[in-house]
Amino acid sequence: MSAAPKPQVKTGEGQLALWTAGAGLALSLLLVLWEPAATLQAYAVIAVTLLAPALGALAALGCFQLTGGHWGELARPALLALLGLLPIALLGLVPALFDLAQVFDWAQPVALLPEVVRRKQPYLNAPFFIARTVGFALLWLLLALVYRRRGTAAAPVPALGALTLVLWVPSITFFAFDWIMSLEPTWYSDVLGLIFGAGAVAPALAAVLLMLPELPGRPDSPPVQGRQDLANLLLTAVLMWIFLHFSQFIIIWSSNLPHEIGWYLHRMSPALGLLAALMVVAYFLLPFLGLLAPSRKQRRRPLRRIAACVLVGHLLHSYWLMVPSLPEPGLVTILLPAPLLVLGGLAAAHLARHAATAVPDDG
Amino acid sequence: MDEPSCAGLLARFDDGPALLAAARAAHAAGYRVLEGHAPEPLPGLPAALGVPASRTPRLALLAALLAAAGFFALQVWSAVWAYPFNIGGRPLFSWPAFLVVSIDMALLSAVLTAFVGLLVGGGLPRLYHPVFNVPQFTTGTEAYFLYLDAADVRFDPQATPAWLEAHGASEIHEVPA
Repeated sequence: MSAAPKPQVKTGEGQLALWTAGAGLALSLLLVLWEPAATLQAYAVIAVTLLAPALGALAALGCFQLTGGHWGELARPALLALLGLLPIALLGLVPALFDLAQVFDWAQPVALLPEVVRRKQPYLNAPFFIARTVGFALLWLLLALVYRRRGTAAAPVPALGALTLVLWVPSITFFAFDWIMSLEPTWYSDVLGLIFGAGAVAPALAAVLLMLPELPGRPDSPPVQGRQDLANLLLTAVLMWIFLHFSQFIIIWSSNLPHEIGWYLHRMSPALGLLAALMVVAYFLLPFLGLLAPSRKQRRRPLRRIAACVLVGHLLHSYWLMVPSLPEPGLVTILLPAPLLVLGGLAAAHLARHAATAVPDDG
Repeated sequence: MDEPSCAGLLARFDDGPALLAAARAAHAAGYRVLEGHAPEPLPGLPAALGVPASRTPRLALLAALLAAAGFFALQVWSAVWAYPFNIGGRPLFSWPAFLVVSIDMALLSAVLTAFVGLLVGGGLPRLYHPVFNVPQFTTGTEAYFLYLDAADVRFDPQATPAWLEAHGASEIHEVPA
């Protein structure tokens, strides 16, 4: 994979981020010779982590087309910048596509597969998997292109929003089935797609709250009200996330069937239990308590702290969803910094460029 | 000082901003028994009138916490001590199953508290308000009213109408008690 540096970057942070990405790429090339499977798996984990806020931004832009409102006008520059993460994250998925068997157990030779996975072959087979991933990528990139072309000033078009959301839900559902659920091909949970979706919208809104400039005006001025609406939307996404996660857990825990409960058993070690507890605190508990009082939703600093908390929760959530399903979680964890440097560096360079060119526009 | 036949004064304003400005001025001038009436929600009107923050959200939160704790305790007591029963080999204290009822009852209690709080806070037991004695009050859809009650210590039958007129009231009605 060749990460072409974007020439327009002039800010110091952007330069630093690009150098970081370059160093990460060199490190990755070494690692891929040493541990090809774990390196490709680490790339998939970081790519899915980075993809989530970009997909969440797509959903938020679609909602704005349907509803309008100050929150959307306020958030639109940041949401469009988040769409720019889409190609970077999709780039991170490409290495795995070259050798699916290194990442996905179901891509092993059929003779090695257990009976239940063999029966899933009509869906879980390499050509169809690659076609689906390429199809979703093209769909999302096309939608992102449409929204970026329309820019920050265009009036909302309800039909575009409806189309976006109608395509968004099935595409993220099957993407989550492919890249998260199929890491453990014997396991099945039909709500996982929506968990991924709620887990995409929450970090997108949190990133928007972090990227918003200082807003002048009284607590009842339209921009401040719009930001409060964004905070309420973040609260909704966080509640949706915990509700779906708990629903999945209580159903699987109640039925306690061997092919379902195994997914949770892989996440029962003391270390992963602690990680799950931290994830619930950072992703749900602290933001939920913080976003209850209206007064805190009108001020910038507490909102930024809550947003940062959600983003930390998102990182823990992505790790918790994917890494324990892999055959060698410890090794993958050690290798995660390499793709994090590459994809995170490119993402930071992109967002730094956005911050440098962003002009505060409030009417 | 106040005539027994007059409950207060009803001043009409032509738009929302005028009512907001007059409400702020009236509160700043020391009027405390006052009401704003508008045909649509006016953001900032309660603050302009000096209405204290509602206690309903806190009461609803308290009700939710009490209900969650109470129903969780009830389930623990019944499952662990009162009627221990082996369900699929799970421990008697199976907290994930107890959360469902606890959260549902917390939500129900919060909603019911907020609903009762809305009715009480809206003054439901009061079935009659003197402003309806002014016929213009019920006819105007583009009318914004500020009501100053005669019980206010700042209320003066001579000075208050003049004050209202100076603050942009387009009509001033005496409200019969």
